[in-house]
Amino acid sequence: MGVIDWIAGVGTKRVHVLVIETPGASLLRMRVQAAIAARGWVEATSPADADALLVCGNPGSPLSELIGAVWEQIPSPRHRAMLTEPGTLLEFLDAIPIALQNERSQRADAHDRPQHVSMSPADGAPDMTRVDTSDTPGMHHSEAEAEPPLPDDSGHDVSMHTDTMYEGTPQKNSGSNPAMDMNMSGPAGIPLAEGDQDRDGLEMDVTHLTLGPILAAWPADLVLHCTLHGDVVADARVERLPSGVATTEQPAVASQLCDAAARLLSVIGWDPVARQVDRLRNDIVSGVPPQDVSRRLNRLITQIRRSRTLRWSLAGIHAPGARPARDRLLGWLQSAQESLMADEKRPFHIPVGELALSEVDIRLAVLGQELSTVRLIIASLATGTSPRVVLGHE
Amino acid sequence: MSSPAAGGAVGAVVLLPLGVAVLALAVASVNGAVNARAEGGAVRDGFAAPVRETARLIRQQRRTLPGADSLLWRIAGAGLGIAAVLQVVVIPFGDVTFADLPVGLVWFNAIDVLLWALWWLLGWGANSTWSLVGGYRFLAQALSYEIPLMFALTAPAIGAGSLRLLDIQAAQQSVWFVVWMPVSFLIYVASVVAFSSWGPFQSAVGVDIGQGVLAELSGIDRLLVLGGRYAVLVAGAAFSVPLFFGGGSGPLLPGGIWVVVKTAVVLAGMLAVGRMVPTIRPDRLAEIAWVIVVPLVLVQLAVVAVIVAVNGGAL
Repeated sequence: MGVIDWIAGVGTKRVHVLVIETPGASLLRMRVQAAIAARGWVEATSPADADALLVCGNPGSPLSELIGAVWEQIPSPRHRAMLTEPGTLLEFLDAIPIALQNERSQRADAHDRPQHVSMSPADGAPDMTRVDTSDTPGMHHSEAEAEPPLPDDSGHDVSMHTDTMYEGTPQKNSGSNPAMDMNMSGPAGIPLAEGDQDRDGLEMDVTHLTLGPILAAWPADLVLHCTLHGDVVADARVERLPSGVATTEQPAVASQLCDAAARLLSVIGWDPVARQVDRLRNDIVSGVPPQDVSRRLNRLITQIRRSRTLRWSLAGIHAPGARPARDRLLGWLQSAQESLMADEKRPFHIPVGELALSEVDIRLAVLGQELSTVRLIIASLATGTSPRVVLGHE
Repeated sequence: MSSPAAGGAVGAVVLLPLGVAVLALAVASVNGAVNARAEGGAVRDGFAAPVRETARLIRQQRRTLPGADSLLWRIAGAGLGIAAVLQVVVIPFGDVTFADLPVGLVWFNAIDVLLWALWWLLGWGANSTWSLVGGYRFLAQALSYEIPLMFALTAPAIGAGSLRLLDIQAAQQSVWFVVWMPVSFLIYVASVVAFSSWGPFQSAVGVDIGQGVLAELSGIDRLLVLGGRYAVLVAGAAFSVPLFFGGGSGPLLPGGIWVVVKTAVVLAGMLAVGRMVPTIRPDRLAEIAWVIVVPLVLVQLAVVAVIVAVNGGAL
């Protein structure tokens, strides 16, 4: 028992938390991120990577079902909590390692999880129908499995299939009524993808993938239902989740700008710098003196501006009518800097207005782009930021 | 079986995997510490991160998805670490080598091509779009680095007139190959980082695709892949020592120690430079790889060939 307890102790010192922001609760989410970083914990990038699920704010109807589906994908040991008040944040976080270490309840949870759901055509059909016609925006993953986690259990994996959607799993394009012409010859009864010509005239598999709303570095209120040819977005439907909390306090402008910049940097894949911008945002949210933050921000701006690789890698990436992604990134950080240093003598004016981007704008921005470019464009639009602050409004 | 051979076998089976694992852990720790510093956390937590992650992943449940090609998926996950050990097995530690292959250099090349299969199967096996995109990204990247890497590997072979690593090491007694084959060396190091899906070449595990080939992995499967990535990086760095840094040659210390020290220096360089550069997108990488890097490495080979012809051997 000594060894098992020791492993449990060490293994819960670096908890991976999947932070889910309900639209409008960005300040709460940033506080959670700051608290997680302060403990040396990590933000999970996917359900498979998570130990704990922390929902910020009270999710509305479509989102709460999705959260349930994501919860089923998190491997045991796992823990979930919903946070509506910043005041109880630390207690919530303290509870996570204790819950993860509780072997008895974790074992019970693992055994209660659905072990296997057959995928015979009879019960598969309603699911498939739901997949293609469902309006519910999905997490990017499909199913979790439920193998009992502990070593004394049988060593083979049983896939399970809850009532989730199939986004994330390559699936067929079967027209408007999938139940009618289903080709069940694919793996696990998942119909095979059908081919179509892509933008370059090549025959490619047509698959469907839903981006958001629960996706790392992705705006909390945006859902993009994509039809992919290979990894090119042939068609997309944009959905916005309603904001659950309209009246809550908004984060400081500088922290919003740093947040947008950190997201773009992590989508670009410059992890070390994204971490540093994350840290700036955390510091602003936790009330570190602005002079201190501003000095580090200055250094980062210089480093980002100097990177030739970044310039070259982001060349030509922008939404129609918007400034290039790199300019926007530098612009955000510059504005964050100005707002940090603003005082009575030099007040800071950020353009304030309604969110400029309509669903049509977003759709047009992503059509015909590759998946990686879509991520960059969405991150450079920073649509998820508070509607009161239009970032880089030109 | 004679006893030295048996000793060699034991060494290869026990010592090498252990050594690779220890070095991989060390690299992950240093990387964790630097990350912790960037985040403003405690450096000590960063150092401990790989151990904590290991404990965490050992406790965690494995997952699979409907329609997952579990066999290939698991093979790919476990294969990375094995590939790393297979690369290291032909490296001479001073005069001692666990497997003295007459074609040691080609052996390395063969294993690095095996990594194509492993990374791609990892993306394929999960039956998830994100993983699959990651797998394809790796292939796109591999198309850019593999040809330059193969040319870069031929430079030491031409210099020494042999594919045997002991010969290549011996040919550097007066001047290390890195001195007159710098282009080859740089391409080699970049390719090692690329076949480990690490640093600026980590688009296959990018955050923008939910960590791509890692997206659906949990528990021991994830541990094997994350550890395997570092192991492959370590193996690549270790292999650069007989190729470019004179193998085990050095004052005072025994050859084996020098190999480890030089490996650590190469790894430190990779860590430091890798952090300064953002991820290079595979589609953009192809452009420079084929237009700039391939001609450059060919010029390097021409220079090496002329030097060898004029000099009648290595410098």
